[in-house]
Amino acid sequence: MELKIRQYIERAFADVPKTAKNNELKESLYSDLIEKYQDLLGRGKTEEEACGEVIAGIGDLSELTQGLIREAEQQHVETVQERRRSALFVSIAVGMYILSPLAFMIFDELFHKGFLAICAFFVMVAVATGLLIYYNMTKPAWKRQQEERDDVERWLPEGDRQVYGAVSGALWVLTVAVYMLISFNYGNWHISWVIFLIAAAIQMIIRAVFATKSHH
Amino acid sequence: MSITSDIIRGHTEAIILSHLTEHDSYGYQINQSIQSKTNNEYELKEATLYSAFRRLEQNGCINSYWGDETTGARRRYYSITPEGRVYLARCRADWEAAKTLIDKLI
Repeated sequence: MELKIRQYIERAFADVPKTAKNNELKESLYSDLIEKYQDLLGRGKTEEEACGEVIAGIGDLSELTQGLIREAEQQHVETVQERRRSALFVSIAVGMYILSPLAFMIFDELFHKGFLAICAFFVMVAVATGLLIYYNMTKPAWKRQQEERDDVERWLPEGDRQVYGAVSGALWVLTVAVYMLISFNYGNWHISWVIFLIAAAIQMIIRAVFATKSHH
Repeated sequence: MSITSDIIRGHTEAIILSHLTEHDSYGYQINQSIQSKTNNEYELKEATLYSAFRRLEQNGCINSYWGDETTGARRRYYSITPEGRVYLARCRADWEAAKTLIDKLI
């Protein structure tokens, strides 16, 4: 008979997307119904009577389930739009970072204007940074929450979290410094950007090290 | 009875919030307390109850968490937030106003 209640609920929720939040709602509803069912048995009802009474008492679940479906569709649309927006901002900004030394070289080598070259370089870096900051500040709240939940730092203990933050920060500052040093010294701009890929790999390794450590 | 039910259903959210001011609670317990307070004259449908939970949680009026029962099914407990208390106070004021008006009219 409990199976019959379970089936009733599963049918009602069949079209609802199975997210963690929706499953929680469904499971709490189910556990309530089972408690009511057990209570009715305790008061001397037969299994059939109890089951019938429980299911009759549920009422029309469609308002609830339709609401959950609408919410999921809405969020899906927002996610797609948000992903496009984030891709646009980040790719323009990264592109500008990569091209900023090129702007320097064009002004320096072609027009022999050293001062303008440095200006062009910093303007591009500033605009790219501005774009990233603007994007981060205008990011919708739900996306921020999602990122916080997924973030590696959330499940690290307090002490480790600070170390992890410091190490990651130092890694990227060092990377930029090394990139500038090597590139300006040897003028090998066509290949020196690989340093950023190496830094990203190192970041992954650091992440993995902290993850294994916190599992122990 | 069905007219009474309709009127009460409009106040489901306030009824839940009012119950949660006494202590944190879960769906079945809230429904049982409604039944005992009304001498078994009124009982919420689970659909109504859970739609209200969802609305209240979306509006930040309640929080929920899993209880730590060691035996039997786990229960999802709800607790009222400060926003929920503000909302409940407004519901009570609205109801008082409506009651006074209707008393004058019928």
